[in-house]
Amino acid sequence: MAQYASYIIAQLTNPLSLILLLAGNVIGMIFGAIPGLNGTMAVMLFMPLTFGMETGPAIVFLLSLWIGGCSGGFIGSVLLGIPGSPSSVATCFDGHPMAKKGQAGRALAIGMVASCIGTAGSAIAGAFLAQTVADIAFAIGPWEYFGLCFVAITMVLAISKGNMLKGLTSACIGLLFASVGFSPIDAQARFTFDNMYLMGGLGMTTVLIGIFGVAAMVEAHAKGFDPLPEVDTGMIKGIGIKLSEIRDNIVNIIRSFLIGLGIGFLPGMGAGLSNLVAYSVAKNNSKHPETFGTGNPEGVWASECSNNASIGGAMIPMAALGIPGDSATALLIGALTIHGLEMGPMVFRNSGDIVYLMFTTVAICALVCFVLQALGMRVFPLILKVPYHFMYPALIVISLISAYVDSSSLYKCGMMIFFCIVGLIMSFGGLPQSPLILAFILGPTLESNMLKAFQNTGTISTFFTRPLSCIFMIIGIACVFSPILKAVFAKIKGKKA
Amino acid sequence: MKVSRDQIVGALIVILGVFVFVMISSYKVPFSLAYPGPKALPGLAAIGFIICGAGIFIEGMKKKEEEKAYMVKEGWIRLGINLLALMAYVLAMKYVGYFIATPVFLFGLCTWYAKGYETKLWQRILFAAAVTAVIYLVYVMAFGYQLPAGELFG
Repeated sequence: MAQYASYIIAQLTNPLSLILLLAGNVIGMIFGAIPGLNGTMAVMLFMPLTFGMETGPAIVFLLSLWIGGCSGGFIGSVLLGIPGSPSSVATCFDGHPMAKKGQAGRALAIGMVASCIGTAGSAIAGAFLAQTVADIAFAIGPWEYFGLCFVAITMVLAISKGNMLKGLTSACIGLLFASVGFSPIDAQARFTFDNMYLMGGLGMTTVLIGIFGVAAMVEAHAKGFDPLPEVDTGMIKGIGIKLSEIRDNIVNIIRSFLIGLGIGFLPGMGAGLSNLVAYSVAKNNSKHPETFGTGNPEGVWASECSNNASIGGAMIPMAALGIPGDSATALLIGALTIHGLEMGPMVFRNSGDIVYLMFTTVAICALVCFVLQALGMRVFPLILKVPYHFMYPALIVISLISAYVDSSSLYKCGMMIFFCIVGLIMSFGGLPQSPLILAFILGPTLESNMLKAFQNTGTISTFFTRPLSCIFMIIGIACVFSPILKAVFAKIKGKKA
Repeated sequence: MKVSRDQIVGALIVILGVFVFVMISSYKVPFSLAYPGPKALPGLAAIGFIICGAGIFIEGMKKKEEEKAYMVKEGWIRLGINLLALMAYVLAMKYVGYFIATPVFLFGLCTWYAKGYETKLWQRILFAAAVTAVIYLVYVMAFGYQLPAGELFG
């Protein structure tokens, strides 16, 4: 790791990288703070801008957007009681009641400190653990890789709220979109309709921004914008947090950090789940669980520390295995592929400098976010005042221009509108987003490993005779059938009772 | 009988599944248990569509409680206009290029979105001009991309 220090320092002291780092953090924080937008959307929208950059600055910019977005999520949760992103849902439970009690400054400060500890700590942990995971990954073959991709997609289904069938449908749409273009190994043209723009497959920018970006904005306008509640700026008085408070909450912080790191590491899961789990564990272990939900700072510590710790956790499988920990890392894998970097165990041998640049950038972003937030705490209410009628038209134009620059063709803009309609149909039907993102990004890896596995042994049984592959397959299948299994277990439990 | 949203979506998904099956049936490399080939991934998606679509349709039939409307009539009209505006913008970029199409589109969309809110004309004009200029500066000047010049002027 030390041998890459000179490369990392050169990259991070490059003026362009520094500007991008700062800009990325600020833009990400704004996206994270405003309800309806999030860091993943920021990464999605600005990704095409990085295609013409050198790999180093591109990585710095994309990671800054992501970290800024994750870190800024607590602002909306504390000041409005509306989570800026799913990763900050649990922060609302106690952060907003604290603000109502006149402790907004303290709640924001806890969010800032907890985010910094979670992100920086998990990046350092990730940098040390990723190499070990990559070394283990050398021993696994296409069967295990297929199993990992399968688990990543199905785990999202298992935790997707509401209807499992809809989650599965969303994943199938992702697989269908992933199969457009020439197939791996056999080079069979699929769903190309003799159109040269479809031969190379569907671009990530066009599909994801169309479905999740443009569709969300158009739908929000059609349904009517809900004006955000006014924020009382008088609530923000001083930072109101002492070092002793960190000491008093050290057990809660460490526990939440480990929960976030662990959940972030699991393929397909991330901050959206970890903040809720850490919050509920903190509540169960608190001396005053009855005060949770009424403005207990322990709840804010737990939620913000865990959701940010999931960042480093998600980066471990992303770097070491090429398997995303969540939607944002799925996008990053896609973006890095465009820059010629294939994530996985080999990346440590071929581009170790880039991998450690990623972890270092994340740790530095955590500190930059902390400084920006500490300096700009009084500006937060202004971020939440940006009118939707200015913000959405600008973002829609940026989305369409992103599609254009992706291929220098207006055809892609037309395709983006098509995918916007797909997104609207998905929203109409209540189909969740995460399974589609993961299945679309992981589809090619899933398919190529499956075909390689069949080429090697010519039978499906190998997926179940290799121990690790068998475990992955069982977990994946169990996730698909989890609603049925849950019902069966509940019935058995009911009979016993 | 009132058709629920789940029934509509379920039926659409089943139709999509059948369409995918028809499409993949023409591929030359056959599907076999020893080597599933290029039909495997879309085939898996098609099976998923048919099973899940049917399941969603049946669940929609079983639903007894009154469904909350997805959008009011005015909302559907706004949605349609939004999509038409997007298409018009892309077409305008094709013929008149980025520099004419973008400020006009931004001004129009912002004015429409701001209906019911207090905004001044100069604010909207400034917004449209500023966003057009910033996008140009970032994409073209800073990163060297090209933006549509327009067939009529290019």
